[in-house]
Amino acid sequence: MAWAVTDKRLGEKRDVEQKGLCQLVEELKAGERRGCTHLVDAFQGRLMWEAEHVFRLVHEDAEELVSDVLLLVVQKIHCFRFRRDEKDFHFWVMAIFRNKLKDLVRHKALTKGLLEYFDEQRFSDSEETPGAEREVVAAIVKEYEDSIRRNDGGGHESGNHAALERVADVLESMEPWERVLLRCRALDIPYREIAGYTLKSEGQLKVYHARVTKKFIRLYSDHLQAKAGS
Amino acid sequence: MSGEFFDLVLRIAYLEGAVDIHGAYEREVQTRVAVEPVPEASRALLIRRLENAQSLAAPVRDLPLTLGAFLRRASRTLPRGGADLARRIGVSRNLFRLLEHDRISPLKIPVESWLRFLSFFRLPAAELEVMLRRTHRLVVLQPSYRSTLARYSAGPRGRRKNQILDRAAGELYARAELSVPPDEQARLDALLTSIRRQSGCDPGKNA
Repeated sequence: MAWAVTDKRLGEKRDVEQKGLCQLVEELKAGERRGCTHLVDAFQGRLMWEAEHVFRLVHEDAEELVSDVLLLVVQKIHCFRFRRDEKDFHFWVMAIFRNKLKDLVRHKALTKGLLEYFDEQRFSDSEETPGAEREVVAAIVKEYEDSIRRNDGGGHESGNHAALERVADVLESMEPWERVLLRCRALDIPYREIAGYTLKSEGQLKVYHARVTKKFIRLYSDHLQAKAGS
Repeated sequence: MSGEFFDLVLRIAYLEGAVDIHGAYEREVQTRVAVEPVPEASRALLIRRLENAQSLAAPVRDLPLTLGAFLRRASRTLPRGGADLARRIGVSRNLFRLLEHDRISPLKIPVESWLRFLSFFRLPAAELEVMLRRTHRLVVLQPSYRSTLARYSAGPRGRRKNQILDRAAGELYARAELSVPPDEQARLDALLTSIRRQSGCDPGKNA
């Protein structure tokens, strides 16, 4: 029975892919109920994967987040316009996903604390993080949380987080291929894809990733010390 | 594994817009094979929630009713109006005027011009298709209501009445779900299939 349901769902998903996102948007704009089914088949599993496996949210949070994202898609579908091709819709949904995720991260920063949230759920059991890396990450996250709290108290949208701007500055001071590697791997983009952007082989990138991370940690620490010294 | 913990910082930086990867992540998500299996109950619950939201949201369509209405609106926003638009689409000024007033069937315009139209207005083929179907139906059915209108008086008072009726009938035919003769329908379907295939928005292409 379970297999039959899975097969049926896979068939529906293929159906959505074949018909394309143009038709999905048409259905949603026309207020057709099947549009909701097609939207869920096309995006729920995909976004759940990203929320849980890339952004490391707990299952319940991921489920609620994806539900909110798709709800907003249905409510705002009349504001959506294709500009180039049918991929526009995917990018639009991803922009909503990113914004909702950002709100969730800010909320966790204000309430539970990000390190507590992510550490407890994902990292403490199996991962061995070097002390220096842990220290630097903790310092950045703490500074980020403080800036969120300050902005929340002031009642305006935060746009300038000194810690994140420093992260961006340190990345800029690295080799282009190094920062592409770090940025892309953080979002689980496969080495194969990154190889295309950096003109380095997949094998080289796998070897260099840990070294480049250490280099970033060292540069960031130096950057902080230099700032404290001046 | 070292690096996992550090990635948290870069993810936050990405979400806050402090680092940019120029759409590489969004492109990757579209092609990713890994998808979280969703329990049937959770899926059904979400669909129900979305359907409720959909029924509450008022449908607002601002897509013009016919191609003529679309072109008239677009002409107003361009500095040289219709002349510029006609040149960009690749049709003569006379043909463009007929299109503007829904006096010519879209079948008379070559596929290449429709492709230029799509690319110029960055419209999805599906939206053009809706407008072309309505316009074609309007053009095909116009003679039948014109003969009805001809029975009205052509005097000064009648002319105004005719204008109102003309507009009303045009809108009625564009909105109504009326079937056109099968041969006309077949020709229109062939044109739309060519546009879809050549614009790269053919649902059968990804199969």
